Amino acid sequence: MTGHWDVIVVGSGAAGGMAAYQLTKAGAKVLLLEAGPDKDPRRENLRHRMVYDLPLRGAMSPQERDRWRINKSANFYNKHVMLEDAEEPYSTPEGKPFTWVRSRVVGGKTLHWGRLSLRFSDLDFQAASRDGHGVDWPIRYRDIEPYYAHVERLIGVCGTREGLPQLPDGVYQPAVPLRCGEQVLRRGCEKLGLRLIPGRMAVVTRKDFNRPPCHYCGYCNRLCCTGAMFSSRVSFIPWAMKTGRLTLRTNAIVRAVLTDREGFARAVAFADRNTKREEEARASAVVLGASALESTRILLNSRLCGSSGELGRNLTEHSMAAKITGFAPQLTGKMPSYAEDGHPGFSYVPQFQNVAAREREFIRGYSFECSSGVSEYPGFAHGLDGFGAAFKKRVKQLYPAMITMETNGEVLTRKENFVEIDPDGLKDPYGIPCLRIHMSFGGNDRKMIEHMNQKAQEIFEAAGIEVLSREPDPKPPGWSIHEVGTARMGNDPKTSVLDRFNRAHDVPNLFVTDGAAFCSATALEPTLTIMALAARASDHLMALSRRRELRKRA
Amino acid sequence: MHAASIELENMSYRILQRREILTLIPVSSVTGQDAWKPEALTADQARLVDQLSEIILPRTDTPGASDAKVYRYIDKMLKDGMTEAERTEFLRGLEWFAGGNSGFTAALTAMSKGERGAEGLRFFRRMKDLTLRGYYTSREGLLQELEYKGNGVYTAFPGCTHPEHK
Repeated sequence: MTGHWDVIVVGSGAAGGMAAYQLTKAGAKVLLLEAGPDKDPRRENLRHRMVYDLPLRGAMSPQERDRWRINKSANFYNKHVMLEDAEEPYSTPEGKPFTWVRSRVVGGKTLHWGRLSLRFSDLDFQAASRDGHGVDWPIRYRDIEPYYAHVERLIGVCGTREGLPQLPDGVYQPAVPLRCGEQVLRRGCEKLGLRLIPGRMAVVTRKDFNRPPCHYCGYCNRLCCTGAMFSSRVSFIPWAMKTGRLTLRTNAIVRAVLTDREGFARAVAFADRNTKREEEARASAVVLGASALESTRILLNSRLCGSSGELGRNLTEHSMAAKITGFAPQLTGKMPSYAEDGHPGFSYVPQFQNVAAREREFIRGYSFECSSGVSEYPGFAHGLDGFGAAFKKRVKQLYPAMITMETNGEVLTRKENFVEIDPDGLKDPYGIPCLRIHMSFGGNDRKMIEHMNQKAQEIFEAAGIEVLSREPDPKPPGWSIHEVGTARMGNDPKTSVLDRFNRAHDVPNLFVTDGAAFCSATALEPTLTIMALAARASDHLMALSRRRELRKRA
Repeated sequence: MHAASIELENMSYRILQRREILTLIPVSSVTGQDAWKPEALTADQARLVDQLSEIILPRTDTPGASDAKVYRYIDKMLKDGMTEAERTEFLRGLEWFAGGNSGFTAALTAMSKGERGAEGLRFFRRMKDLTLRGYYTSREGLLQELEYKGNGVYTAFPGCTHPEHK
């Protein structure tokens, strides 16, 4: 590409989109490279069409199932924004599968993300000091707090202020109230001294905001037709465009960051998805926000940032296990008068292990995501015995009474969990070397999963919920889509890839603003923190640029 | 009122003769009020699928599987929604069933308990899964039976308003 930009941002999702907006707003001329096409979720969606009017009633055909076998989050409604398995292969060691869900589209995974927007606390940033595992983050809550507030104001988060030390309060729009089943569950939690709170979701509930409020049609991951649910595509990208300083190049699959003789980033090499030809674009600084593993893949393929030996290491995520489903007897046969599944999210039981008192069996913790009531399809019916009129009646009775909980547990960083460039030379259709991903759960992770199962059972018992089904075992690694780490931040260049402002120790005008920078997974959803760090890194980049220190080594 | 559904109301396992059950279940929709023709099933198979689905989810005071034309959904799934292996297995199960069972309800009951071997259990589960899927995603199943109110446009989400749940 001809031209020269102040900054090239790679990736247009939570990390890249945030950076592109923050940088253009501050006056930078930005080239945004997105690997996929542009699809506006407000237009390209199937909301408000009833399932009986859809081909195969909303199921994927066998051919489609084949195309998105690894990408398990793809469904009939969102498959057009989901990366097909064959387009970007990767390898895993024998017997150690890793589910890598990716979206290559403007806005990335924010088009179908889970929306929970939770602040980390110093319990997370200093976890290593408390329990001796891994490293502390190089930042503290006070460093990131203004950016949490900044992001919450921009994206619109609904929720309640609860005053919990492990889950700092933020700037919230009115919360979406709990459903009947969640109230029943909450009472059970309270008997055990636990809290269940309305989920803090990036969904607009106020009428006077920069996006229209939610109209409670439900199933946000089938794409939001109004933009009430935050996505980078609906917010950051158009706002950045409005500054007049953003150039968006779609279908640009980045291979590497190119450096000059002094070792500073000077350009980005990418393949055009349609022509498959390689091109180059030049800039004074580069921000990678392509998703944790893609950004690390780019760095590995660039042969940069390797001096600490930590690049590719410290891969972590959340274990999803102990799914439990049951029904509240007092709710059977009581159809609510409103659309219960129009709720745009979940309720939430924050981490309660290793907060005040220490657990004996494991370090770190987990949280529960809960939902209840009517869902469009009564999937539970497949697990009920029998058939006939009595069966049909039972399905109807249980339909409004269902309650379900699932977990996000912190997986510890271990030396066994890392990514590398595939040693057998696997390449994608654009000739770019692919990753081999090594990921499995360890002893602490498994002990935590046992605890989740016990606790799930206890909560259901305390709430008087009758269990219908349980899935005690963890889903395969990757399932949470919360993979983070592999280019962690830190103050010491010998033990970290990025500095405390997401700036590469080895290449001062190169930043990585996505989940790759994380030092630990925590028990919390990563996206809000990714955005807060991306905004903070962008401000830092601008400050360095103003002081003409972008090319100054520490 | 469906006689077959009355039969199943108390899950009675009285063995019906095939001739008897054929007279109990109206099959008008399959025999053709309109021009619908099966694409993956034969007409006889479509009729059998219709009858079995109606036994699984019969008409009560709300529509049953037959009313919701679940057999058409199953035919469509066989044609476009299943792999070759899945389709072959289902059709083989259907043939096996048609050949060896004089009383459908009793046969399904026995199959559901695993008394007709692995093949019987597998066919029962497949047939039941498809029937549920077809029925509860139909207009009749979703709106009339389940009284689903979702996928609409609302100005507020009231949540639980019952003091007894709090």
